[in-house]
Amino acid sequence: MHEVAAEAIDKINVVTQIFDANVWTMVGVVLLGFMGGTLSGFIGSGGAFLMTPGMMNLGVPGVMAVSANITHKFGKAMMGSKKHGELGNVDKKLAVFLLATAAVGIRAAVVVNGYFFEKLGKSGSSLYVSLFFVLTLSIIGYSLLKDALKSRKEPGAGPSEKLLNLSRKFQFKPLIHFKVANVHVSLVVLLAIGFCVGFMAGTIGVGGFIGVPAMIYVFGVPTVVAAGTELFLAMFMGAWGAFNYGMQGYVDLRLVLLLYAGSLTGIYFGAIGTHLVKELYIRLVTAVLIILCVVSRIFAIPEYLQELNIVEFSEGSSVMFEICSKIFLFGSGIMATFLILFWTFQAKAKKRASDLSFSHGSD
Amino acid sequence: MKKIILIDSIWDIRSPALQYALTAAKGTDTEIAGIFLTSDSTSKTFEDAEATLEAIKQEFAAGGITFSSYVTGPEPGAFIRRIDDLMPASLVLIGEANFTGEMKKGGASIEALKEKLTCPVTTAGNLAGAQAGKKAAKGINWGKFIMYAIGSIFMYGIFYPKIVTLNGSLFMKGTVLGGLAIMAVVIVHAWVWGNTTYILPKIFKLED
Repeated sequence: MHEVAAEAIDKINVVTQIFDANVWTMVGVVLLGFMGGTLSGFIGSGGAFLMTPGMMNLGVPGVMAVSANITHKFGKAMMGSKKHGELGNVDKKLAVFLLATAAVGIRAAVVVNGYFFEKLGKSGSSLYVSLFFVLTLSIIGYSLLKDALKSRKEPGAGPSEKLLNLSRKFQFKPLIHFKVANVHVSLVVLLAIGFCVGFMAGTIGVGGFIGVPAMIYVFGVPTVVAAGTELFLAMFMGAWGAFNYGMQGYVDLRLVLLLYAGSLTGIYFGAIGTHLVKELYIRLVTAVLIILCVVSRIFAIPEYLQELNIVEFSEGSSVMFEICSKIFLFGSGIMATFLILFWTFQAKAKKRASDLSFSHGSD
Repeated sequence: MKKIILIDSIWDIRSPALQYALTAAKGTDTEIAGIFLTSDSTSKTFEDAEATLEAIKQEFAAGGITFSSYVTGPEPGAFIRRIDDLMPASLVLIGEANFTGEMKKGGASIEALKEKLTCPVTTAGNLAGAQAGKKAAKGINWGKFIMYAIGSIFMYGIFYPKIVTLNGSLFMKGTVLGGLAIMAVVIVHAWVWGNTTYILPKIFKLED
């Protein structure tokens, strides 16, 4: 009982300690929010793959970085759903089925994340989140890059049908028909995917990166419906994640509000960029950035291992690993954000010049 | 001289895409090159289309607009070659173009053209939407902005410093009430701050 109380006090003070140690950390969180928001607006979903490890680089324990991120995601998705409702590209029935097991997946992730924090402390929690991040996002980053390079060589190439054909072999009954998406999906496959999406969202705050590809490649849902349904799903998953982490006492609202300060500024610029910048650039930026974030996390892992007394490094090596991790994450994030803003403003200027010359002539 | 490449399956001077191209070309030293897609490659279809397009050409010429037209069947290779021949252009405008499944596989689709071509590629539908949007745009609503900005000042100036205290008594206590309180704060804050920053793209002239 005494230990639990001590743990609760530690959770409450950990962010205060980080901010007191270096006031600039707060600016760092706002900057992470801005980069994550811009990316999120630009690529349609995500941003968490930058914000979660970024907060961990600033010293926030893994479980608290994930909880701040998923709570932030809830409000952001709520704002996004305003626009999304107008589009009507949502299969609500599909979202409800996915949500049923995604909620279980999130709950399981909260329990596992909490277990690592309580048993192994801040470093154990960060190590678990980092390993999960590296394992899953390296596969996703590689697939996205391969897809982007393929579409550069073969413009207009549709999504690969390999996974779709494979999933057809696992069409266990009952099959459920989804009218908007116009697909039949096995209930078993549906629930399994829902759990995975929820578990991933609950563990590293990134659910859309498997939710959308799964809907497209495994269920055969049209891309536009998959993206719309994922946004709808993100709001409820974010709310459930925020509530669960909040109920465990892991959400420090200071982190969430600082993330919002940047993200809800950047998200509008990123969203405008999607209409002005070529789709291929969007895909390439996403893929390269995810891979660089994975590299950054790989450099962060030795430090956690050392803190857990699993390995030992000289002080010089530890400093080098930490610097490399920060350079890869913040460097790639700043570069990607700069590129998005540069392309957006450049495209807008070109468009304005072209509109001007055409409208001048039509008068 | 500028060039607009128009891709359409409608051979009618009243087609929206042709009308947009015409408006844009008037008095701007711009020529229009139209690629007209047919649903089959029979000589009768080609002859009918060419006859209609010839009449349009005469009408455009009377208005001082250079108009050239090319009739293409549903073969992706021929279509792409035609586009390549006509490039460079200032704009590619797509009307009611029927890109068949086979054409899309061969790289003849709106998405593929957007990726392949260096000039802007847009559709008549997008232009119509943009025009409707421009009409609907009301500019910056300063009254609303000030209201949300005051809310944001409250959230960051007054509420934020109090979080440290509230964490111990409510937010991070690990209770159901704490979880619900967090959700309530997030809803209010995202709404207030999100509506405050909504104005920024307009200030930076990225939106009308």
